[in-house]
Amino acid sequence: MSTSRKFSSSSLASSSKAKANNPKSKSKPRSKPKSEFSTPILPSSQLPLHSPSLLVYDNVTYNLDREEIDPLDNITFQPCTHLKKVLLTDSKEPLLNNYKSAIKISLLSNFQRLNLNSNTITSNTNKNKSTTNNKSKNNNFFLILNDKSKILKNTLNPSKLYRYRSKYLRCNDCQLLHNHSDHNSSNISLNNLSFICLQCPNVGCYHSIPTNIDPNPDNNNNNNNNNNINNNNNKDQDNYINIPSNDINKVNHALSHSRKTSHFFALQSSNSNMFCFGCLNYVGHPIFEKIRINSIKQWGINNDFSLNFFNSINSNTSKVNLISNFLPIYPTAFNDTSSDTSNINDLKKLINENSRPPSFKASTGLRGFINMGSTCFISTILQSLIHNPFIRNYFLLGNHQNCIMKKKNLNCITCSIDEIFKNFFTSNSTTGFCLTNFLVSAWNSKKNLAGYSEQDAHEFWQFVVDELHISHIKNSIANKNILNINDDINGSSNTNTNTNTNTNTNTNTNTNTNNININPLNCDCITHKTFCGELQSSITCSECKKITYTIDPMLDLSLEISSKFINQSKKQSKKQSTNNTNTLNITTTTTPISTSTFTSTFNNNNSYSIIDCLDLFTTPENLDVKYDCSYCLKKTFASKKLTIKKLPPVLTLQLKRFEHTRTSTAKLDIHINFPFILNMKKYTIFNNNCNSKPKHDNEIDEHFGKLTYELFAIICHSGSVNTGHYIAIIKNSNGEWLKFDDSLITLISQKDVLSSNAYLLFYIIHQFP
Amino acid sequence: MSLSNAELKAQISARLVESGEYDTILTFLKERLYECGWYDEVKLLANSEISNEDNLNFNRINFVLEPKAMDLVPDGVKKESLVKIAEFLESIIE
Repeated sequence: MSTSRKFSSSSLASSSKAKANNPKSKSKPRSKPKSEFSTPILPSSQLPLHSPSLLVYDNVTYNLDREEIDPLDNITFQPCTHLKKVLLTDSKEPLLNNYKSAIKISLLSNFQRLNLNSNTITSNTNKNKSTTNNKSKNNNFFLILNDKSKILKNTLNPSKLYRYRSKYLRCNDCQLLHNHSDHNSSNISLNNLSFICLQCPNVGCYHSIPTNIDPNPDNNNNNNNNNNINNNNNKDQDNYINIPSNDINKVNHALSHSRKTSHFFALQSSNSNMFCFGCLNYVGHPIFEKIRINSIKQWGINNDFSLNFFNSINSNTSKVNLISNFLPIYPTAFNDTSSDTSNINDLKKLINENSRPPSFKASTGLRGFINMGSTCFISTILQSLIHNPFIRNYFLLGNHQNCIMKKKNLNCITCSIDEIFKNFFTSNSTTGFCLTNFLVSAWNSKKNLAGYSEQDAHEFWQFVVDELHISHIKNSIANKNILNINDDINGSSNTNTNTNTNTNTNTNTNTNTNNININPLNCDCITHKTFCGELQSSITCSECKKITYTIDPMLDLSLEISSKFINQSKKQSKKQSTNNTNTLNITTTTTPISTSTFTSTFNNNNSYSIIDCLDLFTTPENLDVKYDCSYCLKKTFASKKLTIKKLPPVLTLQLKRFEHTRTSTAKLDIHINFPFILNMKKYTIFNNNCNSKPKHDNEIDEHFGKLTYELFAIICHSGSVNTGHYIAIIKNSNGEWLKFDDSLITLISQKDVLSSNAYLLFYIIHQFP
Repeated sequence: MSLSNAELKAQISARLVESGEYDTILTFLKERLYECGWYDEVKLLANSEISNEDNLNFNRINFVLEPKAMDLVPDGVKKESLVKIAEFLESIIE
């Protein structure tokens, strides 16, 4: 309760300060339904001609007059007329400041789920303190934040902080209880859809209101408004969407607050998007987006939570955090490596003048590959890479541009993949893509791929992924040499570096392969950053019960299908063959899928799923050969257990459908269920240590430590061992499932996805919003 | 014990949030909804709604989708969440 009082007292301070900033608003009674922002706007005729009003933020200049938004700015929502007006006035400063702090509050939720270890938390809070002291004492949100960080420092309990946050982000009016008796019980909002006002410390809940009026009248009057800005009084009234006031007051506290106080903008607490109550819609602007991206970076969202999670558990392993430098998760127009911020505007100008944004069709990157004679295994693997967000971002950010292999006219598979990306994401063509270049370079680098024989998709995946790694190593070695040579030329290098260059060139020419086989866990190539995890095998000696641990890198998990189930399914397959055709017919006719059917399919009697495979994978097994125990120095029988030590951002699972016996190979063509969401916690080392952990850590785990993976691509094989066909099924960013069959791409339903016989499954790390 | 219905409700919701139980239940609910594909379905619904509508506006889309999305929540998930809430209520009754 004391904290909430602080909140209100600080709010008074801030509002008085805001008034001082905006002297004209002081004279106006607040109840008057007129925008505070409307007053200081100069009529456009009074502005000096041809001098655009510019706002400089973070050394980047924004042109506020320009109507259209720079496509390079990557904004989620378009600015509305209200926002544009405000940015031309003096009120923009407090708005920007409030936005900055509100976004921090709203990001706390994500920050919580990140499980940052204690060091990062304290360093972050220190940063906050310095900003509060330097910049804005009037800023009420910072005070809360500071208040919170004090608590945080004492206890370092993330769930407690999270609780504090949800306490603050409750609707103020609902808390005051005035209208509670009018509510239906379902209407009491806690913090699900709450809006933080950007002009005062109010937090309000939001419930949709029926509107039959044209929701965007101002879009049409857009230009008129700017010209006739003198008639503000009437125009601003028009900009509101008219809603009967009774309805607002009853159910929508955020909106009623906005109408009462003329506070137009608010931040939605759960997704940190800005909302305009004038348009009843989300709005955005490059300046705000910049602030948002900066604070996201500052609060460490780009640090992958699961890895941090594991690092905090094994604090003794001071391994390089693979993901912490994995910035391209959030698209920013430019990498931060270019420290010359003044250059950004020039660069932007250059890009703007010499390029055009790709069409919508091209931006989806949806294009098939022409089958050039048993190349379906290649095209499915390539599709799975093209639509893998990590790989896609790597190529679209131009990370493979100055390849030395290309300069030397050497064979480089990564370059031909780069070429595919360029083609897919720039052209409007829907016809299949010809793989010629890729095939030639693949054939050159791996001789047994040459020819038109059918190959295993998994083997090919391993090959491509390895090639990505090799080209990275080759390029980084070349770059290093160039740097060293430059040092030599400058004469600034010591004798030490001279010897370095010697060794480097030696290794480059003589033992190139040695360099390529460096420890994949410390490798910062795209392959290992995306797919590489750690597998821990623990061998327990049957004599002394002591456990020997060995840790191996893993790129994928090959999962055995239990022989018990194979026998079982073989018996049942004959019986069910007739039933199966029936059910398939039903699924194709019912396009709208009801979720209740999913649970029924999961609970199917003879269902065997990926979960069972993973269980089998991680169950201890007795070793066939005798084992030399290093503790008791005896030759004993031992049991071996595999657990995952570190999970990769993209988890690749292979089902061992091809059974190799001495005489022949057979294919297990049975259906194995797979979930859309896979929780890997059970298979990680954390699960084993769970009991020994103190209660406090368990609490964290309860809230945020869910290591969940979302299915985004599967590759299926149909046919027999020797001949068959591969297709890929991939989920796009809209949650739709697309089937890639060579050059044909079709939309399929969730149910069809679940009924497919997967061979390779790609799961991507998932964060709950 | 002269608390009105509304006051009681407010007190319970305050306790719910302050104990952290609200977040636990919310996280649980989100996870279950993800697992059963509810999020994807609502996303598809929203997409089709957006492509049918000329005048885009959050309020309107939300108004149209909310009842539909509510209906799509599987009964099992509803029940599980209700059990959790009931457990919480049991725990705070003195």
